[in-house]
Amino acid sequence: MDVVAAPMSDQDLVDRHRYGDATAFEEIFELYQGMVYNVALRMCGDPVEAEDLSQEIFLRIHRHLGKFKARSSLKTWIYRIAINHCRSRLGRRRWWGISIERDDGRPPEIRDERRGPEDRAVAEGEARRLGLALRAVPSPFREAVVLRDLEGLTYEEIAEVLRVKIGTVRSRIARGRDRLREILEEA
Amino acid sequence: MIPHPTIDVLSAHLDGELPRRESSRVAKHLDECLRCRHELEGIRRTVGRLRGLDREAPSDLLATRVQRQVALEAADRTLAGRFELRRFRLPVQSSTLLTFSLVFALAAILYLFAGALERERSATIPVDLGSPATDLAGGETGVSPMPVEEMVWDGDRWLSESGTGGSPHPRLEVRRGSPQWDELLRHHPELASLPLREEGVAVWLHEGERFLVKP
Repeated sequence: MDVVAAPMSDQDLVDRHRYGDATAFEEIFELYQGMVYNVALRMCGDPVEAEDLSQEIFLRIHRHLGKFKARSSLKTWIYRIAINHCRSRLGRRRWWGISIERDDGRPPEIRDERRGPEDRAVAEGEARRLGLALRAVPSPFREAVVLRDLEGLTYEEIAEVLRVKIGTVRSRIARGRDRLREILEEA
Repeated sequence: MIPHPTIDVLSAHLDGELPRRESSRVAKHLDECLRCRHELEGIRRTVGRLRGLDREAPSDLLATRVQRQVALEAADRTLAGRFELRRFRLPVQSSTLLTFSLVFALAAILYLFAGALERERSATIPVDLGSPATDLAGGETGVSPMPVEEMVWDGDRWLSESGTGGSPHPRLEVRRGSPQWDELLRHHPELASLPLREEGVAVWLHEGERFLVKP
């Protein structure tokens, strides 16, 4: 008779971690590393920085996993940690004036890397173009668009992650998409 | 024709996140409005491009880095735990120290109290008047015998015969035949010749000690 292992629930994983089972966190890392990395990448636009952010996010997850109350799903909880951490880190970066977001309300010009002497040989892919465009979208809109169109969350899940009303989610997604379209059309 | 829907509504319509009734109203409007269809098409293209993006994978190094950091944090926590334990032990050591201090203080108080008792007891004993062998020898040791002078009661106070002193009343009372009297006699045999008076005889010893010899 075949024995089919029941899928491990979020709470089981958390309980195992709470009781000192180190493999529980390893399983969580395996399950969610791609998700966390992609969110970080789309939020910051730089693969190296995205890895740094992902490492910090997983450390936060490890620190607070024992306090996870299962009021939301583990996935939503991890998304929230990831978004909050990116917001905090990138917000700090904006404070130091490194952000490429412009304050005059006009969509920023996307730099064409092919025209630069160093990147002439490198073909500009759609991913890079979209990545740059996303970075130019203001953070609240970008968060909503990333969670919806790249991560595939429902409006309800996004509302839970961002802790805002569904109406706000709808508005942020629409404005983010609209802004992104403007930027891409101008490029 | 119903009014043009906002981009929020169009975007939600595209995602299928509108209530059924509202969604059908928007669909009806889109059938009739080229401008809104164009708008919706723009949103659909942008979303399509985003959803067409490949998901990136982190490098293998990420797992190693996270594992290392988690291990470091765990080690820090263990150290912190030990520190916590030491911090917890500290009051125990303090209480031991406090106990020792209290015992020491108690011992000191007892010692001082005993000393005070001893002094009090010795105060009630007649002054050590020195060795009779030396004192009575009258200068064998170079020390003169202490003068003993009878004091006379003048109805108000005790006066020395020389009239040099006075006292409301002698501080010490000695009864003839008591051990204290015997002690006095050992030092000052001349006291044996003191007259017997019912009210007692006051004696002035060495200009300091006055006592009343009672029958």
